[in-house]
Parts: sequence; C-alpha cells; structure tokens
Amino acid sequence: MPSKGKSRTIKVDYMARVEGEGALHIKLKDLPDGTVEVRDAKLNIFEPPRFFEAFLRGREWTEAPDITARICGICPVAYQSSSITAMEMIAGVTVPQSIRELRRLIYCGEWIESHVLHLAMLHAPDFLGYDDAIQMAQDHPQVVKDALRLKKLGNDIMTCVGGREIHPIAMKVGGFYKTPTVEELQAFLPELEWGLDAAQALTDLVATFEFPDFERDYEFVAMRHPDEYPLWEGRIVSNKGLDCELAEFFDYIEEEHVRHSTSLHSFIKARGEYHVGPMARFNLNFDQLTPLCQEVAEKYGVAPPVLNPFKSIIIRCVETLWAIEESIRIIKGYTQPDAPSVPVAPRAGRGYGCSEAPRGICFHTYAIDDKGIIQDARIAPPTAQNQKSMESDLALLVPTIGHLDDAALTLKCEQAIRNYDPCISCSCHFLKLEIDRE
Amino acid sequence: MSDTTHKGRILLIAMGNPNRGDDALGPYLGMKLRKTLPELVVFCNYDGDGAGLMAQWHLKDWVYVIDAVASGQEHGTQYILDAHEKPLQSQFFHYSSHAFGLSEGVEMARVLDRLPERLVIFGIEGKDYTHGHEMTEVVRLASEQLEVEIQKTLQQAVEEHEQLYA
Repeated sequence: MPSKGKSRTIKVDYMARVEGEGALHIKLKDLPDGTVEVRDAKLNIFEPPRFFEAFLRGREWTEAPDITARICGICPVAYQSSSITAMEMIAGVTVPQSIRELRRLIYCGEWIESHVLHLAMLHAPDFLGYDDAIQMAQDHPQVVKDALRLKKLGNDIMTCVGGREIHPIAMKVGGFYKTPTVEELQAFLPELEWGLDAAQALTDLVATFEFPDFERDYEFVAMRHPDEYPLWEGRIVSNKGLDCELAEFFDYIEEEHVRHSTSLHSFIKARGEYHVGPMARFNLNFDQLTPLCQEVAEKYGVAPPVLNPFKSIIIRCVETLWAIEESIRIIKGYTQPDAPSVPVAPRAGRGYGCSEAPRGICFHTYAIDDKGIIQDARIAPPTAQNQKSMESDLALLVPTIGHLDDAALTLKCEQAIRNYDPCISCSCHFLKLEIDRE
Repeated sequence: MSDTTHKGRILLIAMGNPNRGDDALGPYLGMKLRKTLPELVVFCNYDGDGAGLMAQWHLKDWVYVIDAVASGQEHGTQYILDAHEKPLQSQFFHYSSHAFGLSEGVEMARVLDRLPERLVIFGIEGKDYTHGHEMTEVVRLASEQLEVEIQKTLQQAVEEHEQLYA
C-alpha cells in the first residue's frame, strides 16, 4: 500500500503489448487524506522520427501509396487509401464502383486482422488477469484459436486483394495493378460465414469483462458518410460541432511539438484535445452500422454515447463483425472490373485524403507540380492525434486508483493506454511507463 | 488451418526487417541461402507478426527460422535453439518491430499444440537495431559461420526426410 503523504515513482521502461517504442511518466503525490494528486502525466514517445513527409518531397506522386504504406505494418491500407484518394482528388479522378468496392474489401481485411490481434492477443489478457495471450491461451485455448483464425481471415483477404498481407502491393492511384477473380473472392464466403459466429462469440466473451467505472466527456472525431459506416469518404465530424471538408482539416486542427515526444500532438484549435478511433466512429456513426451489429452492441448495453474507453474492446468486436458482414456483401455483389485501374495524369494542385485506420482517422495532404512531383506532404496519424487524450485519461484515472500498489497501478495505466490500440511506430513520425510519486 | 498434408515440408523462414540494422540478419542470410537451397526446401521471408507465424506451417513440417537475437549476450554470439527442447525466452527476439514477436508466436503455438514436428531457430546476437542502419560488421562476420551451419542442417534434414518418406 502507498504511504500517505509520500511521493511515488513508478517506472515501466518498455510497455508491452503496444506497437512501437515509447514511455509513460506519471508524477503523483499521495495526500494525507488518502487521495492521490496527479502532478504530471506524459506519454513520452521516443520512437525515432522517420521523416516520411520529408522524403516524400521530390518523389513521383504515384509513389506515395507504396512509400506511406511503409509507415505501418499493421495498418498499411489506411496509409495507402489516404494517399491514393488525396492524389485522385488532385487528378480529378473517380474510380468505378467495382474498384471502390475492392478498396473497401481490403480495408475490411485490415480492420479484421488489426482489431482481432489487438483485442484478443494484446488487450483481453488485461481484463482476464493474465500477463499475456500465451498465458490466456492455456485457460482459453478455443478463444485464442478462433481469434487467430479470424486474424488469418483478415490477412488472407489482404493478400488476395492486395498481393500480400503486409504492405500490400496491388493498390495504386487509379485503382489496382491486378484485381482478383470472382472465384478467388467467393472462396472466402464459407470462412466469412464462420467469422460471423466467431466475432459474435468474441463479443459475448469481452462483454462479460469487468470494466473500470471511468467515463470522460470526450470530443470524438471521426469521418461521417451519409450512407455508410465510414472508411475513407465523407466529412470529418465531431460530437461537439466540428463538421468540415477534408480540405479544411488544418483550419480546425493544429499540431504542436512537445519536448517529451517525437510525435506531434494534435488539438482542435477552438477546444483542445480530441479522441479518434473505434469509440469515435461508433458514437458518431452508430446509425450506419448493420442491424446485426446494432443488435449485438445493444444486447450488452453498448449504445452511443459510449464514454468509457475500456469498453472500446467491445466496440472493436462489433466493428470486426461489421467488417465481416461488409466483406460478405461486397463479395456477393462483386464482378471483376474490365480494367484494374483507370488512367490518371498529374496536374498541379493540392489534394486531401483521410481514412479510418483501425485506430482512428489517418489524414494526408499533398501538393504536386504539373509533372507529378510531390512538393509538400503532411500526414497526421491517428496515434499522434490521440496522445493528448491518452495523457488526460491517465491524469483522471490515476486519482481513482491511487490506492493501488505500484504494480497494480502500473498495470491499470498500461491497460488504459492499450484502450487506444496505439501504434506508436506510426505516430512518429513503444512504451515505457514511469510513475513518480512525490 | 488444419493439417491435411500427409508428408510435411522442410521450411526455411527468414524473419526480420532489412532496414533496421542487425534485424536484417534473417532477410540477409535468406537471400544468400535461397540461391543454393536443396529443391526440397521451401523458403519464405516472413515480416508479419508472431501471431501469424503458426499459420505459416503445418504440424508435420520441419521448420527452420532465422532471426536476430537481443538477449544481452556478447554481440555476434551464435544461437541454435530447438523449440522442442525448451521454451523460448520472452523478449529474446525483442527487436521484432511487432508487439507479438517470434518468441510469443512460438510459445503460443506450443500452448495450442501447433508446434511443427521440428522447429529450430538460428540466431545471432545483434548489436545495433537502429532504423536505417546497416547490419554491423560483427554480425555480418558471425553470419558466415551460421550460414554454413544452416546449410549443413538443411542438407541433413533433406537426407532424413528423403529416407523417411522414400
């Protein structure tokens, strides 16, 4: 037990089960009345800056999808989609519906593999009291086997549509280099049908977890499409009045450098921090989910507004279910395009792309010259946008759990960070936890 | 995936990131070895996360993996680890860029009874895992001897395999 009136320092050098390299420093004081005061909470991201924006300048406009895909091995399709749509905006190109559907399908594959890896392998052990998924697998082997099978399904869809599962190679400005046949896609239907049941079973499990009594009045920011659960089209909206075109993103959002992070922190100019990711999408687009997804969510009392970030694990299950249903819909209606892509030609201008990576909106803007050479590139990855929100979660959560010993406190803080499924590699453009009790 | 093969394969998997210093060991040795591999050996580069690793093999396969090691031992130290003899230490392959690395993938396979018939990991203790850096000289030199060891092991495996399935 912590001593009253003492200061505490708890330090976790490398936080496990997040993607990338970073640290967390929490400075707190145990007060005589038994409560805890948080003096400082910082997410220190020390993943080396990778300068993607700098080395995109001077490259061909058509290279952006393949270069930006390298930012992340977990969500490359998000980077490819944002860069491709930004370039197509500049070129004034609209792709045929069949190509648009294929893009949605590969994005669904990415959501399935990324969400299932995180929720089952990285986040669920927190709730079930295991150190890791291997320990969890000893007691819950079928859960882990099903999760691995679901994840593989997502990866296989990416491989089929994108040429390979990590950093797909088939997507390009104007469409694809090669498109799958109807038969190749229909071969996924039996496994997707199995996936419908498996995703619901996973939801049934995670919904029984014990969730900390913790809620915040977040400003959620996500894309909003008039007719669909969003992937890359529509406006950027929030629950507190933000409603803008992609081109207006940096009119409302600002990025700033802070000393303790190699990632830029984002905030809404008028109000401050905001929250992107599954909770934001779900809360702002619940009406666009399928009836089955709505029914599954409501069965467990999960309906907008969901304000408890620990319940994001349930939402990831629901979104996995959605991605499976969407994949089935796309495949059943698929006809192979006559041509895998439409012709594109460069023209001078600026374009904007924004897509819903599994962990939140991934915003890109590029300026190119009339020869198609990139003059300027700017990328706002989701984890960078969530940094302030993660720090605030900790600052508000720790006083409620300050009675815990340092080990338990540390674990709970790590769990709170994992609520965001942070991809720190992306945001730098791993996590060390340090709690300092004064 | 269920194991439907009667006869297992001999699989050589090269893991690692070619652009992250000594993490390039797997792809580097893989590229050299694949030129002279016995016909029976199937080669693949694998740069996905450890959670997907077990999907690469069938239960009857004989699997050989190359990856860089970060265990705190002397740089250039050579390792040949038989996964059936003892568990892999967590964080041993710390420098996988993914949250669920080789050790976790192998140990998960063990818990789920998904280890292949043979699983041997070849590794060298790395020195530098910085993004954008070249492989260090100490690891490059050590890799020459490891390459010979892998060739010998694979050749022996091929002979045993042919006898077994003759």
